[in-house]
Amino acid sequence: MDHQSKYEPTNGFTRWIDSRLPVVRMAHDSFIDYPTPVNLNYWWTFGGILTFCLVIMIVTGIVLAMHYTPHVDHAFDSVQHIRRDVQFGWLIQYVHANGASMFFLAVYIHMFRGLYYGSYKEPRELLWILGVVIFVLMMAAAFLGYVLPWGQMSFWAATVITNLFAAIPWVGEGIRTWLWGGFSVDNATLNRFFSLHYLVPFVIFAVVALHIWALHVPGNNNPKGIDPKGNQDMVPFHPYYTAKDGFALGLFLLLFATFVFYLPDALGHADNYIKADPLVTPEHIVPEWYFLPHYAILRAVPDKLMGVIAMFAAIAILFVLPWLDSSKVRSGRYRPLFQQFFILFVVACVALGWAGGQPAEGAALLVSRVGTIYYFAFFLIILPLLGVFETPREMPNSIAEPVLKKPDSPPELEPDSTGKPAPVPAE
Amino acid sequence: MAENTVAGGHHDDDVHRRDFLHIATASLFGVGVGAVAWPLVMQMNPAESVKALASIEVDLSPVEVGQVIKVLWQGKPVFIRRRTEEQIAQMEAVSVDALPDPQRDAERVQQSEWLVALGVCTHLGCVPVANSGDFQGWFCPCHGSHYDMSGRIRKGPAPKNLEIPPYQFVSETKILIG
Amino acid sequence: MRIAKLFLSILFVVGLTGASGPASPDVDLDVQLADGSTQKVHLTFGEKPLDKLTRDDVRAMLTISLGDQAAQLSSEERTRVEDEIVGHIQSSLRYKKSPDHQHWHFSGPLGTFDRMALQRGYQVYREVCASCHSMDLIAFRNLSDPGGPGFSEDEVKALAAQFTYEDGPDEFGDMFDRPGKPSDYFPNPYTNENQGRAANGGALPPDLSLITKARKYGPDYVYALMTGYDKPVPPLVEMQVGLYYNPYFSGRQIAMPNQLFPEMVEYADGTVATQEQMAKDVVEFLTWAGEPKMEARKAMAIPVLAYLFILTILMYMSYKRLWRNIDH
Repeated sequence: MDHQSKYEPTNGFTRWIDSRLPVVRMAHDSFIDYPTPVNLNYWWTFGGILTFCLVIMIVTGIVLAMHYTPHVDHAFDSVQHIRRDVQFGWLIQYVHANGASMFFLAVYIHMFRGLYYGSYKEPRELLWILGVVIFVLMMAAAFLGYVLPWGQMSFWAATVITNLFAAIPWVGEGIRTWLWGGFSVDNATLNRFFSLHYLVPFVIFAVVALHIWALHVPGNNNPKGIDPKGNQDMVPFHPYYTAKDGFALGLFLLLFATFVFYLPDALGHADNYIKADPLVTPEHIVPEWYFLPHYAILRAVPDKLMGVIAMFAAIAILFVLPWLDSSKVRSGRYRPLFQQFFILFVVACVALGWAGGQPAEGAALLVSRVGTIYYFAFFLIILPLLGVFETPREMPNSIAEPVLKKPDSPPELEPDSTGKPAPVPAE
Repeated sequence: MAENTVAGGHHDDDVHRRDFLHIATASLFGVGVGAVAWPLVMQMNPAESVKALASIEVDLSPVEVGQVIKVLWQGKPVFIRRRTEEQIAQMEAVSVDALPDPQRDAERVQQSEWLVALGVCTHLGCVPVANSGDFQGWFCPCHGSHYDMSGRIRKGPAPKNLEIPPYQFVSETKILIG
Repeated sequence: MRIAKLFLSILFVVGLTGASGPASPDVDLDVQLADGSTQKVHLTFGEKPLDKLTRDDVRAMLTISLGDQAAQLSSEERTRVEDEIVGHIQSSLRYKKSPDHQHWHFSGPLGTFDRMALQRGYQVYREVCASCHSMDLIAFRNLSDPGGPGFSEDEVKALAAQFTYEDGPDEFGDMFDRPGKPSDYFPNPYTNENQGRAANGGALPPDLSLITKARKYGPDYVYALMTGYDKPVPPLVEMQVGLYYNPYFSGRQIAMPNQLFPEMVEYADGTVATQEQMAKDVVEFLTWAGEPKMEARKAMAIPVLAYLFILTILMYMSYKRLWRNIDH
């Protein structure tokens, strides 16, 4: 999708800049004049929403760091100081805390969209892999950040997760002590977690830049999964998709604001309003909702080490997804069997999420085991075999084709005698 | 390449209406961005807990005649000097016209025995040293500003006299600063 | 699609059976009969609530479920089975009851705090709770903050001055006592945690600054706990020494005895101090203390949501207008 740059500097100053550092040209080509498939649906708006989330998290995070104290004696109280004494601190803190949930909600939708429409397939493998890198970094940032308020859940989440590393044979104990910087989760741990929590978002930012770069080389995938054939299949990103993304962002912000203003604690745990106490474990430790599926996989396996491996494998498997799917058809729209298995996959993920929030016994344990088996089977058995056995539906020849065949399309876009769309004057 | 698909059938008749809609949307969006900036800026102001500590009480009874003490108020030093009769007379006699920042001694004190002044050099914010300098008041070691017994700038780069903080005598021997 | 539906219905059934969980009042167990055979017994305590059951009830039910085979039970086996059933009921009775939902002045998107209830609640906290429970995050100055109890600044000065704080060191290096100021935080009844534990039989009374946020069902829970001491101890529950029965507390046995007795405080506004009234007032106060900015939050919600709503509609119109001639 390499295209000729249409940026033209308008005056002497912009020409001077452009011949030395064509950064304005780059921005213009990437976000204004970037040719985008005409048929992207609302599931494609989450890329923009995620960029927005990242900016919100970094901005509010920098502000919170001005008032937060990373010390075991003061961390809990300093968060309350932000809530109570800092001007608008309550607002900024609620936005940051709920923003993490919103970020994950958006990234999961974004990932399921990529999965359904085959956005990871050739030539977008690197784009997908960079996305998985961002996801892993997000998980790290969320975990590190959750420890900082130093409530009971913070402390015990840090304890449980760092103890996972102790499952590694031979070096596990050493790694755990090294992560802690002591003999338990303590002040040294809190300090390094704060430092890293500040660092990771900027790393994410850099990888997001690569992700967008890797997107703009092959160009967007689209719901039909076929490559755009020409001008009739494309519109410039601005104003067409800025407007559509803006509308979707508005809806997303309404949801976000509802949580911040009316349900600020709904996604958290009451126990995290109790200051960390190394002598008392809460009755029921659960991670934040966005880690529940992974937690369910961890507990589905009876062996500690194997459980840890399964949990990390569930994420790592996403890296090789482009080579596991044998189907040449990108979009799930033309894959009848894949659709069924995909829906089951979404159900399995949600079921794992439910099971992760329950005590690991009885039905919840059963669901987490069935869900885990299906999760891995989907990637390791179903996707490799489907391409062989599935007969795809008939596909259109181009993005514009079925649209042009519609009998009620407006007169100015009625195909002319040669079957091509009528040329239209520029805006 | 893409503009060919961009239809412009009703180009002329509704260009104004359309423009207005887009401008309204973009403007409203801009207003929102501006509104978001407000809390992000305001959060840097002193927190409620800091504001609550904005005033302190100082007991003056242990201060001897001729002594200078230094107390911490709002994170800054405040000089309290109990001046001798001689020093008071000397300060009141200074000819105001010749000063860089003309101010009579009476304007700078509530009770002439007590000088209460902010211990921050008006040049660049260093803390001047008491009982030194050419005028035996204060001397700022950073860039050599000389203050007198009334905290007035007499020599050096500082443009203003030492600031007088808001204070009041709550009793004979007690002041409330702030 | 069919597979998906099937999977969903399996999940649903599994979820239902899972939901009854360990608190189920039904018991399945094997009973050894005199002839050496084992008999499966299923007991249901549907009729009588668990907290009313006695050992005699258990004995009678066992006899009914066994029917003809009851006679074949040796007395040792009968005692063993009874003990097992009683043990099961006892463990069910350790699960705390969910509190009833109360209507609060601060509930809902438009809910605000009732100033007078906050002031009465402060009085209850001060006269009843404060002798054991700290509120480290609250300063006297907060009592006159907007969205709070609405005491005047002079009232706050007077309230703070009732307490003595150690301050210093003075210029001679000595600590000295002074009356409290609005900027002082509520005094802690104990100098350190261990003293608090020692004074309360080993159980540290929790800090109340965030108590309604730090417990599931928050205000409803605290209210239920404060008024939940009137329930008689179920016949099958064995009370531990020094603990009191309260079905809303985790494990149902709590170190804090009933605290709110009618008319124990005298409200300045003439409100009758029933137990329910005092509990409601103090919960209102504690909820405010947990989030003093609640009113600011709700006040900001409406303009922000209205703005976002209008912006979203405008964005939608802009989007539709831009795309009106593009077929996609």
